[in-house]
Amino acid sequence: MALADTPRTQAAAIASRWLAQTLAGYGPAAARAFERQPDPFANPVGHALRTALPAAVQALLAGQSPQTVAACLDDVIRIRAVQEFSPSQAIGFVLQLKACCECLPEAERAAFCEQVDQAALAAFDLYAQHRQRVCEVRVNEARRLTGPYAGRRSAQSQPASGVAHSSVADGETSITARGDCP
Amino acid sequence: MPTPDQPEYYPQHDLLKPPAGPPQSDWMDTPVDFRPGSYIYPGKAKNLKILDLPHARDWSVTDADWQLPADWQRTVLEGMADRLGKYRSFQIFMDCCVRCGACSDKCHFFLGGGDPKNMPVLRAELLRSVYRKNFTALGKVLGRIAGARELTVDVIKEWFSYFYQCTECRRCSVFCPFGIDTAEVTMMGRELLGLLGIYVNWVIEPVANCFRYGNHLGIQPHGLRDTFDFMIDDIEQATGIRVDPPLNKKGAEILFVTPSGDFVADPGTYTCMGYMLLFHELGLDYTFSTYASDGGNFGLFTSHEMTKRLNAKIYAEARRLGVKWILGGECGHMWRIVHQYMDTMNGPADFLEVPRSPVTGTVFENARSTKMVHIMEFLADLIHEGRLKLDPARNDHLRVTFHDSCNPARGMGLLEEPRYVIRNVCHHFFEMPANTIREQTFCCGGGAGLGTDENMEMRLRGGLPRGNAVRYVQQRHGVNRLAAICAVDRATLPTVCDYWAPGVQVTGVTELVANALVLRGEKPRSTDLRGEPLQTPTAGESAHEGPAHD
Repeated sequence: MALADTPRTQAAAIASRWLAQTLAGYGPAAARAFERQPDPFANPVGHALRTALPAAVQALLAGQSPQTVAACLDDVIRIRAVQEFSPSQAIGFVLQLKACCECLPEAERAAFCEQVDQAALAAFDLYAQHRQRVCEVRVNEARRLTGPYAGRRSAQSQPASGVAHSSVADGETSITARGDCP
Repeated sequence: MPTPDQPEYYPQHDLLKPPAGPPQSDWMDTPVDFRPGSYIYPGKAKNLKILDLPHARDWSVTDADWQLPADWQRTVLEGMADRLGKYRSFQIFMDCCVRCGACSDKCHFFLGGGDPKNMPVLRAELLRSVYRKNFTALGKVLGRIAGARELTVDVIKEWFSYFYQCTECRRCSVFCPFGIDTAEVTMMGRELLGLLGIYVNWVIEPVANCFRYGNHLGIQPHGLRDTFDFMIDDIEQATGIRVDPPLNKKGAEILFVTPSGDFVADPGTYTCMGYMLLFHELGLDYTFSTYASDGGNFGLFTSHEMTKRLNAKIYAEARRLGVKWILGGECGHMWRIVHQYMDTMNGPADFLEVPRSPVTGTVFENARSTKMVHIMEFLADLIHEGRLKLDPARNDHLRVTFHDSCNPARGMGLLEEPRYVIRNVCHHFFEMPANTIREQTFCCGGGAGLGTDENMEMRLRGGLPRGNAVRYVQQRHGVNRLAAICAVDRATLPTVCDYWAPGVQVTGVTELVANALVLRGEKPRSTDLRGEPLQTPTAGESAHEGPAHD
């Protein structure tokens, strides 16, 4: 039997087990909350997991490319990129899928695990993109918050700009308080 | 024996152990873990000194030694006793929680991150456990069995972490069957930390600025004048109208107070231009003030004394300038203070008159006490009375949704007025899902002094529920503009959207009004205030006589 011929019930079983393991990574209180509430707006993390994980399993069993599989997980990875996970924890949930495929015939498992590995690498690419995005939005915000007028005001009336900023020389100073952004 | 190219070679079950997630230990045994991106820099000594606050020192959150003052435990416990005696609500909130869990999954920080200490019930328990140990017989005798614990340095660190992961948005309070206001528990926690000289710099520096200059950003009078001049030029470029916003005009009928973020930061600057255009068109006898140059009041995130100190300038300036009443701009926590605290802190403002719109004659009975009217109430009245000539088609390039800012929505019940205004100035308005708006609105994740950048991951986690709802209307209705009547929202929601719903920009409601406003003597309009092209350029309006659009 090819992976693509995996019965739907088995695919659902794999996804269900994977979901349970991923939820467990959040600790018991959060796992309960993320699992219990079905409303997508009252529980965005749980909803993302419930929709993305089965879609990724389907894509994987259908022999889709690792990038396609990872794209199914994009919402989850975007979330995990800002949760309190280390990079390995944030993407480690993809590898956990390998431990959820016991219902597959033994002959198919190696192929399945190989695809999971590839998907995990593609997922890490997405994770890196989202982390990069976090840096970008931080810089974008600093640009927005310092004005269009701060720069024009400074250009007109140096050294007294009329705005009291923190000293750049200070160690722990928020970017947005430094006044050194364009 | 499997070889290395075979999966069986690798000890799968060891490799596939779930990655180390959150600690599984009891919350009382789990010390706080300060990771970059998840905490805010502490208040600098120079800012505490400006405000004469005790125990000013420079320190870092990741230091093992936070240089707590000698006898710090007694300071905190005496501070707690003082507040329990002074605020009956605090005493009740400490006693009456039955841990039903109704609030547990209502906080945006818990929903975005899953840290159980961000469940409102547990966040309050951080303080309650110390209260039990020191102020209840059961806690003193039974200790941990009764949910009590000692006040230790780790507890102080935990308070700092989690009371600065609460935006005091009060969403959890909506669901509490006992009406416990967890925001006020956070406020008490922050006040107690303040007794030890522990603040976050993103709050205490704006407070120090506001104390000296009248606004959080430290804009001095000449800086504000310069800023207005730039805005006047930009308004003229977009509309052909040259406005002349008065500053510190004695004897004006109305003092206009708005958050200083709107003077400096995009997109708030467009909202400020909107105020100027609107008042110019109405011929309003009003004035801005360089002293009361911030409606916002980060004192609210510091202590009740500081709230009062900073708020006092509004009434003082109203008295100095001799105005009749005060009009307030699109701000968030300013309105919670005005609505709930100002009148008893610095009022009653007997020297002012009950606000009456000089354009429509409407008397704002709801502001009889504070003498301060919200710009949305003022605008809704103008529109209802037909005193504005509006062309909503000028906003046809925008597909708008509305974010109820926490404080105006939950702090003062301002739900209908902004929607009424938006519906009159836009053709394309779409609500987000019902459980994410109005009283149940989700916070931007950056309120109450959290809107800085070093805690960006934390803010983005907290912004997930809001961003998720925005993305829904973006995908379903093509929404490209998120309207909000709060300066913190206008500063932080663009970032939330950038990450969770890229392509959606943020706007103030008055900016939308100014776009739609048909002005006397305006030039043909081809762009909105941002310089973005209109879907259908207008022919312009010839100058007309008399009051606006009678």
